[in-house]
Amino acid sequence: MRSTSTILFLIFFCPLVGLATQVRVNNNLGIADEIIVHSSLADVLANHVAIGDSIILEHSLIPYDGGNITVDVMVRIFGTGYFLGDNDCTQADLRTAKIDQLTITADLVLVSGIEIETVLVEANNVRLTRCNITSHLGLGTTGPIITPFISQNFIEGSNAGALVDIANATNFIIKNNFMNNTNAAGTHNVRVTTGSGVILNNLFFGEPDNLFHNAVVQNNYFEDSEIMPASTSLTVSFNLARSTFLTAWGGAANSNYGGDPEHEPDSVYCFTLMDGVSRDGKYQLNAWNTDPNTGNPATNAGADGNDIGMYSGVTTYVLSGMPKLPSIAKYNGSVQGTQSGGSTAVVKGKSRR
Amino acid sequence: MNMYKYTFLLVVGLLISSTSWSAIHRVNIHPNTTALYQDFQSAVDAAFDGDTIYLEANSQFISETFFATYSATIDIPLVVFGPGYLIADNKPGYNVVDEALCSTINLGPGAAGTTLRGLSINDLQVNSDFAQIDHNFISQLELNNVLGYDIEQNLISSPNPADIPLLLNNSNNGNVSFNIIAHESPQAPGQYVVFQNLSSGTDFNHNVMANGFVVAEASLFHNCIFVDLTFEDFDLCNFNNDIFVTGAPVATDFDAEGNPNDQMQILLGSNVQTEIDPSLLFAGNVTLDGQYETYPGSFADGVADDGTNIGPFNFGGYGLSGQSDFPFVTNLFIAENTEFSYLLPVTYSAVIDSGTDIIIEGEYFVDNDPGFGGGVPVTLTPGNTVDGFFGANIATTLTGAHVIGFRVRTQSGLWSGTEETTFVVDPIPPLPSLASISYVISDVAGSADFATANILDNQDGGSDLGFFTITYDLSGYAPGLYYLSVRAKDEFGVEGTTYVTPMLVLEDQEELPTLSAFEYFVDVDPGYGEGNPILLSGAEDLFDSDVQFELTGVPPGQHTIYLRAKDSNGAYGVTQQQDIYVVTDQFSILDQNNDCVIDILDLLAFLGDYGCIDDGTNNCSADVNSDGATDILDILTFLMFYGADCQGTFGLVPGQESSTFTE
Repeated sequence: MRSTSTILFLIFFCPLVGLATQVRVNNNLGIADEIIVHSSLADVLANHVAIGDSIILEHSLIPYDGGNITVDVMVRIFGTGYFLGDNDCTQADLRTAKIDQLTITADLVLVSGIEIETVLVEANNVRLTRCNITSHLGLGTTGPIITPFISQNFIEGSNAGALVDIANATNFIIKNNFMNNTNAAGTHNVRVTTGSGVILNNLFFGEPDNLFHNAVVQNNYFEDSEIMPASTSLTVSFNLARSTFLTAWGGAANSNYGGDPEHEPDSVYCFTLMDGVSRDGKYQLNAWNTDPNTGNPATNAGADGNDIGMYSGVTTYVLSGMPKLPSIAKYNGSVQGTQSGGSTAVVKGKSRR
Repeated sequence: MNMYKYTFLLVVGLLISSTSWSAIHRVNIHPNTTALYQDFQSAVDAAFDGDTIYLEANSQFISETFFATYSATIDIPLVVFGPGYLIADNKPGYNVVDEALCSTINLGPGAAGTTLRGLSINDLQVNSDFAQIDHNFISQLELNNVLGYDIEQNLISSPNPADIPLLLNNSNNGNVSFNIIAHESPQAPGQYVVFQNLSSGTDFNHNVMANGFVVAEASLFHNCIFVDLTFEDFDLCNFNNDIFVTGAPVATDFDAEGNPNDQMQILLGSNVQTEIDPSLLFAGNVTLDGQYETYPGSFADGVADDGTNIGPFNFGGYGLSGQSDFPFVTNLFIAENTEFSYLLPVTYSAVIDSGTDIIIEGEYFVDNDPGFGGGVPVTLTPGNTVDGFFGANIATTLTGAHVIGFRVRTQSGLWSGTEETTFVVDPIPPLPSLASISYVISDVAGSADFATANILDNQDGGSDLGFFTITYDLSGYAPGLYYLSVRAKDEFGVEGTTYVTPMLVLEDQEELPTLSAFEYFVDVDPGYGEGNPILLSGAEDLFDSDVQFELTGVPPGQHTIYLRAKDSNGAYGVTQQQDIYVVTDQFSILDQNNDCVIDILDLLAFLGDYGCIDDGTNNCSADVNSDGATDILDILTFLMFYGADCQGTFGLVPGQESSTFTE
């Protein structure tokens, strides 16, 4: 087990510069004809990558391959980010990288910065970060998995069941996500059937409630999506809620607060300055329009002394889900030039962590 | 006097405290362990009578070979606990499967009453009385000149035919019960499983003995199962309630004729079953110890002399992997990748196979073991089997590798061994600076290769932002559609998504030629370059002024004059045309105004066209005399200047040079 830990550490944290191969995938017509660029993600996974390689899905208007794609080799898959027109300094090309459904069956896979309808994680130590999941996220739906790491995602969609379904996962980490089942008649926003883990620094929106088991639940904000009374074996502390339901989970004795005007989402979060501008930016803490007497109740109110909500801590939510890759943030140039005169462009580049 | 009294009391107190307080010592050889000792002997040397030593797992380091660091000579009474053995084989649901693999343990004469439990021992030498050896996996167990030994619930088995799993030298009056004593496969004569040398009075109870030969003396074998076993010598032994399994045709001394044991007669005891088909006895487990477990309802059930089952697998008897009567952590999962969380997710389970004791609490610690009972409490639901989850607080844990330890305690106060595992707290990743951008121009046929990319370094070094002006050199590119591929690279060499945009390369525009000349001709085109030239010196690409046509030789009358331009490249443009009417030098006044009447109005019209006085102004007007009216006076004035007399004299009438005709 200790040896395994070391291996995991090395795989997770060795710098990307050491990667053997970085494969470009672009399904736009014409681009795919360029050498070392592939058009099919499924084909790349089947024939063109080895363990440890990185795949970069480039901008496109259409989903890659269409339908389900199974990731059965330990790779990292990076996309472009999402909501690219909402926030500054994202990508010059505002098209996202889309996948209809992604099923991950290989351990240690990392997926980041992709717009995906449905993700099914069926392997251990998978990291799903900075993705926009628009329909469903399932963890361990076909068998037990360990340590799925779900962080910095914007998960919003209409699901008649559970938007996030943790069927069987040990030591799951659900951290710094936005989760909103927009289907008021859905059964759950987040549902834990079997498993254990931590649920930290998330925003729970929508009306379906959450069913948790065997978890530490801290530093979250619950709008109308509450913790169901049927939940068991929880440590619920340092959370905020629009309603008073947290009194059933220790209330103020556990530093859980809710039900007062300052716990309304408009009071806690910035819904005014960024509303209509940025779909994710509007959930940043409202630091400039708070009650002068009480301040923003989410500020520095977390168990770790940091803010409550998804914009907190080292792994704070990243606007537009920009992956840990540098980007061409702006490009202004002529689309034509001449042989002798050439052409010019002004470019803005941005690196990230 | 009082001083002596108090000194005596102090000594007594110290003695009482030293004898009533039993310390616990941990031994673990992992480099990052929090255990105080990393070799067994050091812990033994530091221990006092009655102390407990936990030998923690080490097998992961040495590929299941016995480890010299876990050897020790013990010469004081101690209790030594290990984590069990063959766990991976017997407990597929456990992730805590490592063993404490000890090369040699020697119990010296001073170790009387020592307990060894849950260990894997290659060579165990017992030279002290009243040793309690239970729940161990021992390749060779040798007792020398000892009394009162208790060998219980062990797997005593060796893969080496030359080894004698259980050898008793001049050791008497002990108990050997609920053990599996065997070679791993049937052996040839001379390969012993048990050898009693000058030893007697041993109670062999509820054992399985298999695959080899036995020399026994004055001992009782009851409730035992014998598999492929030959009693080579069994002086004064008694056999009661035993089962002899049908097996290989091994000759025994029970049969003077040397027939196979399935034909032998056991006459020395009672209730002995022979010729038992093993398939009707054993449950079919395939592990090294589990293969001897009988199934419910077999010939072994309920026929032991104590009313239980024959063999070691009874309630309170042998437990697979040596895990019974003692709490064990069976699973410990952590998230190796903490991703900067202040909580480390930990999921655990633990078990105690006991009819009287249950697990009631747990505790954990990070990096520094505060001692049993001093860790962070973990609340759990008490029971024989417990499982749960907690978030270990690592908010103040510094960057780097760390150890977390977890253990449980039973209601009776027994602590499990401490299961440790490592995790890493990562440094906060730095924001890499933007190093450069690179670009490639590729055609639609596909030639983009960033190995040959043009690179522009970020002049704003150290910043995560960079601003670049790319000047694309398109020389050498044929006109057509291309693609520009641009991407950024950070200081660690990580490249991002490629921005791709089309680029249309156009032909170069020629230099704008200047207008060099006109040429004109009348009526008939003499060909390019053959017309009458009108040279334009210093002209640019545009000429906007008057030109003068020379019509010498052109007969009076209606004609067409043609004009075309020529540029500095010698190219001629489209030929333009204009109708003209050529008259003779002598004025011929006709129906100048085209009203079909020859009258004075024609004269005046003529003057409008030609009545130009050569005064340098080049103004032509019919109002020759400039009196504001166009009339006959203008005609007369004109004639005064240009009229000719009969002598052919043109000009003014003498004496009237300054005259004008006015009214």
